[in-house]
Amino acid sequence: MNKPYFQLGDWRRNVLLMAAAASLGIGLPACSGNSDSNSDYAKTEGDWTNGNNDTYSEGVVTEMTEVEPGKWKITAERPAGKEQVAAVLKHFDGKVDTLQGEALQKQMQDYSRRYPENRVAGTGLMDVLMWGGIGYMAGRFLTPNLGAYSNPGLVQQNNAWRSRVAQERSQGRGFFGRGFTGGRTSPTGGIRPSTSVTRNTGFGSSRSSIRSSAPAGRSSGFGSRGGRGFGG
Amino acid sequence: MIKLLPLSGDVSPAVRGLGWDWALEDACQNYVAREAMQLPERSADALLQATDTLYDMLVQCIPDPIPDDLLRLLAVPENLWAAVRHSWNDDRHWHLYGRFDLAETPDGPKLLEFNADTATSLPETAVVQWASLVAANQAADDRQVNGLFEGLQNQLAQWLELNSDLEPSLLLVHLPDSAEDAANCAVVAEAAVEAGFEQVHICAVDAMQISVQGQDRGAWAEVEPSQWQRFPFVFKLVPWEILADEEPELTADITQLLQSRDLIIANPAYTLLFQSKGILAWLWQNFPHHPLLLEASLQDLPGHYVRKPLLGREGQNVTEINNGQAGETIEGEFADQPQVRQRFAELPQDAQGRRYQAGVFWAGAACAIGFRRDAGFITNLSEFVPHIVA
Repeated sequence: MNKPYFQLGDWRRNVLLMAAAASLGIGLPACSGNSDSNSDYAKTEGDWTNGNNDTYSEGVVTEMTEVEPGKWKITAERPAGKEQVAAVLKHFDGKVDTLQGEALQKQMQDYSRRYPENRVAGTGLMDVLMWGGIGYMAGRFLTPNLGAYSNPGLVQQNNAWRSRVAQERSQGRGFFGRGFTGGRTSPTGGIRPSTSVTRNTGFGSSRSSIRSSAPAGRSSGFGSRGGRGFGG
Repeated sequence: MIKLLPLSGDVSPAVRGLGWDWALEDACQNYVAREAMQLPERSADALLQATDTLYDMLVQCIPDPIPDDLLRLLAVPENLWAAVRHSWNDDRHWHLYGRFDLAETPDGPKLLEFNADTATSLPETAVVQWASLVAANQAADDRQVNGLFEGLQNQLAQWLELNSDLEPSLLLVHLPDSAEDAANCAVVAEAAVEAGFEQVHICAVDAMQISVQGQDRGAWAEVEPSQWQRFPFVFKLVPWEILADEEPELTADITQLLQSRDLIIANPAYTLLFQSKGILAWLWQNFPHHPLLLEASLQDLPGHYVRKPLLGREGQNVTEINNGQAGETIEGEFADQPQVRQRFAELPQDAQGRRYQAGVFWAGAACAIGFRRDAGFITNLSEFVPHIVA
């Protein structure tokens, strides 16, 4: 018999728990480690629930894995709550930590100063992170680079999220993460956006399993059932 | 007596963060209880062991080849017989998961029924019950029986490997306008990505286009405006018998695609054998007086029993009967179906007299437990109760 007993603290084991943890403020710098920082937590919490509408309505949690020493891939990515931005880092030696808040912001600022455009062939932690959902929110690219991901399904899965971010960007909303410093007036949290990055995703271009119109065939008409599910 | 632990804290940010607002909507205000059930490890072990044993018994009790009489007895619609037999005979049709509803009685766990085809409450079991405890600041080393996501991931990886000749694209479909069913699909989709599927797409079943013509044979969906994609793998949160009954032509087309390997569907059509409550009578006949079973028959029983339609869902049309007198009943749309009779089993209660039913998820093996509670029969509207291993 299996013994599928899991400790509550073992939440990095899957991407849904990571996203839920981020939404509950677990692992974020203001409340990590000890409970004495609860007052800081409350203060930060107050800040981002004040209903600031100038920033994106959603955030993102990215899981990155060091598949070979120094070579990183994005292995999971989930939309998260407003201003909830974090990267869970699974190091080659098995160590897991979380990059977020001011530390994340500073690394992104440094990278964007050093590289006006994301490095296409880079495999370092920040090279790959900037190609993920976090970099997208900071305006670092328009078309995802599949090479940064361990599989293209991860990119496909968040198409809807990316289009919501793009739409909000066009409405003037900007990037800001919980624990970031500075005001929300900069649209990218002090990180320099890229000016010209466009890349082909390579998705769908050569597959015979793609059509521009519906194939001749049949579909169901359950819509008339009255709008309820029927699971058990 | 069920022991409860009050939960402080607010789980709603986690639920909203995942886009599962349906679990918090007014109509479902108390859907996730603000208490946790304290589940002794011994009880949890017994539930998990029972689940593994029951699944083995289910597989054992289906004769090979499957006789017509059994399909009739289980009320499997005739237009699904070919798909049921085909999927049963070909192991690449993989049963991903199901949920056993069990009663914990003084004589140990007893099978109430098995939701083999379209079991829901995946988000509650996999995430919300965990988040409820974390939001309440329960200790990090407190434990929960919750390997559902990992179980699904393993099963999806196995399904993918068994069908490595097919392009690894998975379409997940649900009945229209159900945010809850869409969220259940989303959990499976996440697990599928982790399992190695390169493309996953979720939509209402009506948006899936089935073609049986030439080069276009397969299941299609519009993944972006003016971009239609063919999906060899389909996960459907649509009951097989409802598909067969309401969409017979579509069912015929799907069956043809299954047979020509243009399409593979989970859960497979054969899960309807286990989903039918007729299986309860069949199990009792094959394993009479087995300690995990309640006496069941397609004829009336003496004494105290429950009568339920063979292919009913969500507890509809379930009636309690005591010495020939009908007691509590739930209204529904399945009254015309043949019915199974099952010996009444009392569920364990808390101090307020609410009854608790265990839902044990099977995904290759028993992998997670969730509880529902209600003053009367347990239905899809009954409160979901997180648990903590005591």
